[in-house]
Amino acid sequence: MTVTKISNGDETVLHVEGRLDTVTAPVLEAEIKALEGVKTLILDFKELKYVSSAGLRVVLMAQKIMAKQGSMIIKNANETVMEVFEITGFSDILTFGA
Amino acid sequence: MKRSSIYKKLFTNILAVSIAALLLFGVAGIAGITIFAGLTEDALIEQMEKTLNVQVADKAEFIEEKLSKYASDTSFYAQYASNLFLGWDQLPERRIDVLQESSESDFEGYTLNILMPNNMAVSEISPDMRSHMDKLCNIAYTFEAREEGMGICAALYMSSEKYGYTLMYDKFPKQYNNFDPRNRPWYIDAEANGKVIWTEPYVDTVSGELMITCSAPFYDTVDAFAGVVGLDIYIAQINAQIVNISFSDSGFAFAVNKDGDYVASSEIALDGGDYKAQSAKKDGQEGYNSIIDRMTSGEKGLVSEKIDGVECFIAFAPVSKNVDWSVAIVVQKAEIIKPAVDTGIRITAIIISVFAAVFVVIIFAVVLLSGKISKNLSNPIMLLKTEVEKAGGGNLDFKNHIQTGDEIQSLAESFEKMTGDLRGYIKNLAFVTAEKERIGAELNVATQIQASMLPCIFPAFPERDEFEIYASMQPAKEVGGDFYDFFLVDDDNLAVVIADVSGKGVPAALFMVIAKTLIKNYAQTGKNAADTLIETNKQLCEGNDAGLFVTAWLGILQISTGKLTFANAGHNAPVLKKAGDSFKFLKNKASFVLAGMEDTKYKQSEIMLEKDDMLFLYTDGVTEASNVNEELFGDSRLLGILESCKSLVPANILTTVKRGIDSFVAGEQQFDDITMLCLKLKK
Repeated sequence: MTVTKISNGDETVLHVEGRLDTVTAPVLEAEIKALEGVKTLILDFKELKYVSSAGLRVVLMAQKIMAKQGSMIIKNANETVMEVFEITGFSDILTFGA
Repeated sequence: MKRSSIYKKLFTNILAVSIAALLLFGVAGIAGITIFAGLTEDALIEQMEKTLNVQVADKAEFIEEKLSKYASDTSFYAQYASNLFLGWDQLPERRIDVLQESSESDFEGYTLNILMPNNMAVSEISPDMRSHMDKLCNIAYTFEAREEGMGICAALYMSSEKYGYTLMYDKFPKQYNNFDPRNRPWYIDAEANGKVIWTEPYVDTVSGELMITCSAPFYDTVDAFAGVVGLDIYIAQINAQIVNISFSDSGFAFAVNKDGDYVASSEIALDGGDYKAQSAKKDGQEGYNSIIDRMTSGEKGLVSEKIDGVECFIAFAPVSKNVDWSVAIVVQKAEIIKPAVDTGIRITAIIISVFAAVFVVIIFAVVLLSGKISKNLSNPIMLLKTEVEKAGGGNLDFKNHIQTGDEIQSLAESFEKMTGDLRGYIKNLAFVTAEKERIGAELNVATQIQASMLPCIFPAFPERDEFEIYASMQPAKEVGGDFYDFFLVDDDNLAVVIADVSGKGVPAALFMVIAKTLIKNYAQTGKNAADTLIETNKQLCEGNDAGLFVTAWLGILQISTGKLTFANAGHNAPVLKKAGDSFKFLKNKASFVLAGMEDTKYKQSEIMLEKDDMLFLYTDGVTEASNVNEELFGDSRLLGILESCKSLVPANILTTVKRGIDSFVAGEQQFDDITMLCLKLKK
């Protein structure tokens, strides 16, 4: 899995590519913990193939952090990933954008 | 591999260096001697060349002087004879017997005789001839008056042109009456040259000895040729003084005439009358023969040349007066340089013996010293080696006692520090290893505890024949985050739970324990499924700093009626098989996960179950098991495999699904816990 970070003022875009599971989740977690001062976080999941419960945990962590300092938008999640969000009820608490 | 010791190496190296130095010293010494001998040799040759030049010049001069004396005598006698004619008429007569031994003329063994030509008898002598003889015989007084005696002179004589008689003063009183001087070379040459001449060596008819003759013409008052005065010299006398040289054993001298024939040499026969002209040249020795040619052409020189294969120095010089001879001195080169060679050999011998003695002494000293030095150097190393071997064997209690003050001491000190550090490390490692073992052991215990927390005794409710239940869990790591649970809330209500804690390992396991305990506690207080999850969520959200969460599905079955009330906290939809129908997902709107948001609301749904209905619960470890192509096992494969084993009992259904997953992933690593539960109604 690779995470590419693009910062533009107080907006940060994280492109997440590959599998987000127990093994790779700490990489994204490290990025999430370094979001101080960011008002808008966009998680671009266009290239994300799979998300496990460990990955969901990081997404939830990001959501909780961003709820305090701004907003978080998830973009381009594929069907598989969206299904996980649906099943787990994450789709209720997350904001999805185009 | 056999190793040589440092001691041996040091010893042999020191020995080798010492021997090399000694040998160099010896070689240098011998080279010095050789150069010195060479210089000596050059000096000797130079000295010899000087000597040879002087000697050969002396010999040439000697011959010149010697012959000049006789030439002068001969000239004097000729002049005297000529003078006799000046007062010829008044000249007294001196009668000397013809062909008779005369006692009165006897002088130191020499006698005066008159030899007659053509077998002339005394009676045939005319008065005029007699008078001529008697007057001319006055010359005998000068013969007899030679102050120095005859010396090397064999004979003195005077011959008359007019009558052919000869007055001879010699040691051989033989009576020749057939001796005509006028056909002799010494006579003819003297007359022809009109001055003193020298003949080539020849064998004297009277004495039978090898000699040369000096002769000169004399004249009467009208300057008419009147005869010849002659003087014979034994070559043997000159020869002895030319041939013998004192300064060399191998050396010799010789003289040649203008034809290159020997006039003086040990080679030629000096008596016996068999003298023949003998060339000094030698067959096939061109170098040497060219020297003879140079001699006969009157040159002077000193050359090095081989004679009969022996390297020689040849000095030669012409006799420039009286005769066209040349004198040569020959010395063997080997003899000249012999002193240098001998000295060289002697000194070399001395040096070699001294060197050998010194060599023995030094080798002895080196053996003693190098042995001691090597021991001093190698002993600490040997000591250290023993200690290192001990350390290698596990004994690290090394205390350094090596005080050599060099690198070996540094090494020993480093080694002491190293063994000390090693002791520390080993102690630390033992501690760390023990700690790790302890943690490993505790993890094992944790795994067992976790496993034992899940109901694992099947059949689970042997006394209840209304339903059959079976469940299993395979953690991906030692301690998993999945769990299942089932328990009787009361006699009529059976609770069934399946859940998945986000993450793995000990944190997930601990969270799972809390979640499992909370769900069971709240369910057993008689709360319905939705309320149980709501309360559990509240509790889990408190102090959830790690951000963990749980997906869970909880169903409560009223056994008597078959009514299943269930709530879903973000978990995968279970699969339900109604009797006579196929397996289908039991979808309802999933609520958010547990421990995610504190105020999450959970809703519950109800369905009615009948005999032979089956409910299959699972975690995402089942549907998201992936193969090498990263394909997921997926919902449709799960439904397919369930369909294929729908007639089996719950335990065998789970086994079949697990086998199906295993064959799908085909050895790929298991990422997630695989947890399944199957409930079948039997009444």
